[in-house]
Amino acid sequence: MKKQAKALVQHPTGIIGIILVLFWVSVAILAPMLAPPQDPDNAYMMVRHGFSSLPNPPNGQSPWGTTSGGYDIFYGIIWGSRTALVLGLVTVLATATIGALAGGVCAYYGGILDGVCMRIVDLFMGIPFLIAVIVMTTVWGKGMDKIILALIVFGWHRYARMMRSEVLVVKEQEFVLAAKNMGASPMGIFFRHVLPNALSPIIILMSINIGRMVLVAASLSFVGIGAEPGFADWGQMLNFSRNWISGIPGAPFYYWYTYAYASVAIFTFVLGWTLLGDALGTMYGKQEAY
Amino acid sequence: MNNALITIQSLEKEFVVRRGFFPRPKKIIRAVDGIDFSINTGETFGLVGESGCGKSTTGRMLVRLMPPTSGKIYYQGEELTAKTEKQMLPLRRNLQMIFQNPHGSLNPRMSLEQILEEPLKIHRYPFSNRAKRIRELMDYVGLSQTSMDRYPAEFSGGQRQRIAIARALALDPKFIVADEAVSALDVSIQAQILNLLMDLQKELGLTYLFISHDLGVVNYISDRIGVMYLGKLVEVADCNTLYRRPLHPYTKILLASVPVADPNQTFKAMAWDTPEGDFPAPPAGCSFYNRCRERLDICSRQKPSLKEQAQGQSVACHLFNP
Amino acid sequence: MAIFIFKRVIGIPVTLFILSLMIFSLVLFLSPSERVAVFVSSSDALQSASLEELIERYGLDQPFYVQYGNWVKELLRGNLGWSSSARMPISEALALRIPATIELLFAGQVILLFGGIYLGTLAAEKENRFTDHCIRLLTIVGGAIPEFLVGLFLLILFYVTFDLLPPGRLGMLSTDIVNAPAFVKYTGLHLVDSLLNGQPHVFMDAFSHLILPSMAYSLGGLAATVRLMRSSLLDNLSRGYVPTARLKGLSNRQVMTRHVRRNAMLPVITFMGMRIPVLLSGSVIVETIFNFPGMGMFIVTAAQGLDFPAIIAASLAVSVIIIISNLIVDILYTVLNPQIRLDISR
Ligand SMILES: Nc1ncnc2c1ncn2[C@@H]1O[C@H](COP(=O)(O)OP(=O)(O)OP(=O)(O)O)[C@@H](O)[C@H]1O
Ligand SMILES: [Mg+2]
Repeated sequence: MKKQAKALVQHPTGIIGIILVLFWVSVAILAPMLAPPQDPDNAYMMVRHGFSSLPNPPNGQSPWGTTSGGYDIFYGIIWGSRTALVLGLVTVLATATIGALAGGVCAYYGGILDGVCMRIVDLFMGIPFLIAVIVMTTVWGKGMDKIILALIVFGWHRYARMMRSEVLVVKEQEFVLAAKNMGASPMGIFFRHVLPNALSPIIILMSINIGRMVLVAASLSFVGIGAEPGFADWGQMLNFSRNWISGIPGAPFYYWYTYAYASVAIFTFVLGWTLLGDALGTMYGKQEAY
Repeated sequence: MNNALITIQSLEKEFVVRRGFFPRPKKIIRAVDGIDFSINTGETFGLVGESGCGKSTTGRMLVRLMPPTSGKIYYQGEELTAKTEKQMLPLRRNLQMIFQNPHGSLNPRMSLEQILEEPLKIHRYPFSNRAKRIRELMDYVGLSQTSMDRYPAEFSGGQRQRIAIARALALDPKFIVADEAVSALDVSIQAQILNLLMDLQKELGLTYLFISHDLGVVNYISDRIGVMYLGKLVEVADCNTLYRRPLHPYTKILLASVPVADPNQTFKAMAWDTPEGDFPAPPAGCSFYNRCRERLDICSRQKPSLKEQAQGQSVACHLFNP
Repeated sequence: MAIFIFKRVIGIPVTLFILSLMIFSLVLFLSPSERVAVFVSSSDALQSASLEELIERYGLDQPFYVQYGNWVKELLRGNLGWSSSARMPISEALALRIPATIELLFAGQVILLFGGIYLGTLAAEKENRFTDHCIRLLTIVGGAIPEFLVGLFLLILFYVTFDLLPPGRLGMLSTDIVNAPAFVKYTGLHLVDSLLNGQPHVFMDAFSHLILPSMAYSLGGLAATVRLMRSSLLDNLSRGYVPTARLKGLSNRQVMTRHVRRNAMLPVITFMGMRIPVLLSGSVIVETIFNFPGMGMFIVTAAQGLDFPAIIAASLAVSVIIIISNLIVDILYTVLNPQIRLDISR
């Protein structure tokens, strides 16, 4: 375990990934101190300075400026990291659990069950993820919980697929036969021997998918379908900036602050988890884990 | 023979190899093609033959890791093949197996203690005695000084094989299948493990089925030897008899390829130039027909059956059954 | 080969049936009044009859399979319902939007294929030299940046900074030409129609509007095709048939183009097939950024306006696009793969 941690730190992209991930995790944890909310019961709603539809450049009151609608950009970025982290962790834990169990059980028992399972996975593979999530959130209604639910419904199949191929290898190993020879039950063998030894690629995929899920949610908010207006969410902040991208005549970057901070935040957050997953992947000898 | 611990009768195993989801022309592999033998209490029965001849499949069927396609297996007169998985459970503790690959047979995510505790847990060994039992097992296999919270990756191949043996002994088995138990080890360590197995046999009154492709190793440990070729048993004999007077042409080839220390060994001089490669048996005749240097006409038409030739020596070959 | 494609084609109705069932089951989440809109073909019809009448007429209080049957009947008649967000019958809206998305999808796949072949071959030829490393770096970075950041970046760079390559699907002048009665809309694809109508300017205009969005959303996939092409080229080069072909007297270049590259392309084609759903998801974002009026934008507007009939019809349309483009990729694969052709003709 110690050796693996050391190898990870020595991996050139791994260390960058870890630094970025740790940075955003600490920002998310320290959010109440970095950007004290005006209304502690409603901390996820961005602080507003007035209701002007024009963005405001950085000043003493709002260090990174405000978007149209008077939302404080600094506050949004800090609390947006919480939104991203919670969303990423919840969806990834749920999808990985569902997918790994479904794929693992199907592969372990094999036969018709496995055939049916793979047909379903193939069907889900062909569904455009973002469009499916948009359709579901439209039908179910707005809100973070609905988005998370939709992300889970359409995100589990990758884990199932990966788990399946892994379990097919592990279940032929001699220690599984040895356990059977002792008289262990199929369930016991699955949870004690097969599952723990098939998990490492799943962990890699989870790391990469935290970034990917956050990205999809951000895309939703970016096109204006995701979170409710004013919710601290990076995608929504970029959505606010869309009208200001072209600046004013003669000064194309006049409103740079409306998109720069949010872009950098999303990019570094996603990059961090992706690099971490990548480094984990090369460590376990799985190139192209995704 | 009333002291037979294990008896098998016309045991067969077919594998159906299918590619893809849809039923296509299937390929059937007859891994074990009707074999009979019995193993007496307290003896070591060696099973030799080249790779892919069905040795492991036989061994696995004996401990019910695989159901046979047909045929019967008796353990102390009880028919194992007729038992359900549930009925098997109390019997499993008597029938244990040691696997070939010391790297694959231990779960890399379990510590030494967990590995040895697992069989005790499954068979409800009294909780209070477990630690003592684990210590005892470690003593048996000569690992008494080792710390219990280490993982398989921290052990050498020989040490791991000792752990695998300790695990097999945990439930006080009567019969152990050792499938290529030493093939993956260095020669010096092979001897240590073989001696350990023989000591344990004396001490605990075990019966072994010892599987190997290496006749030298089998000869060292076995009392009787069965020679397998393409799923069939071609010769069964006492160890000494087989060495001094092999009958089947295939046994002779195997013996010739064993490096021997004795310079007077007669077979050393025999340079067998048998062709190499894949040899499908003629459907009607002897499975060894295509490779046999002493084949007769009848060999391509009729399958020879295993018949006793002398005291304790049986062979399946038309040369001896005119 | 014909048999192989035939087998593919007969599988399509089954897939379509399952997908249409899944999509129609979305109406179970809707209230009856929301459900009515899925069946009604014009806004007048919504106004003129009372809700009870409409529920009665379309059997919305009937069991699920009856409603599904009614819906399919209406579908086959070309009635997809009324889109409140586009303020027109959905079938008309789709006729305008689907070609735009197909143009984008096609452009994206072209970039994936030819970009992958070109850069992948380059990287393989210069294996482990400077060019190879540059391309690898580019693919890693390109693969990690999300589509909407790439899109925003390209928009800022080419449009805001240099005032080149504006957003939209056509410029003002070309729009007028296309909307004129004299311009015959054979396919709805501007790239095709402009040539058939003898309007090269419109073609160039439509083409230049495709460049940025298709680049923005195929960059992630391009990273993958380059890597795939490189490794599969190197793999094929190390196989036995290269020296044989050289012995037959083919030049190095001929061996490369005739044998190696053709075989090496197969994994890239497979990847393109798998990428179709991803590209369509991406089109939601790039169409929004570049104001490109295709299916992606249609879905977004429908979702914002809670326009359920449009959402359901669009899901169905996207499924059909995916199924057909998959078929095309399969055919491409068969044409390129000598093995399948031999197997089938035997
Ligand atoms: N699970 C299986 N499915 C299909 N075929 C199998 C399976 N297990 C074994 N076989 C086939 O059965 C034949 C006998 O295999 P077996 O493992 O018993 O041989 P072996 O004598 O132990 O060889 P080795 O010395 O290589 O271990 C081989 O041809 C093998 O390919
Ligand atoms: Mg074997």
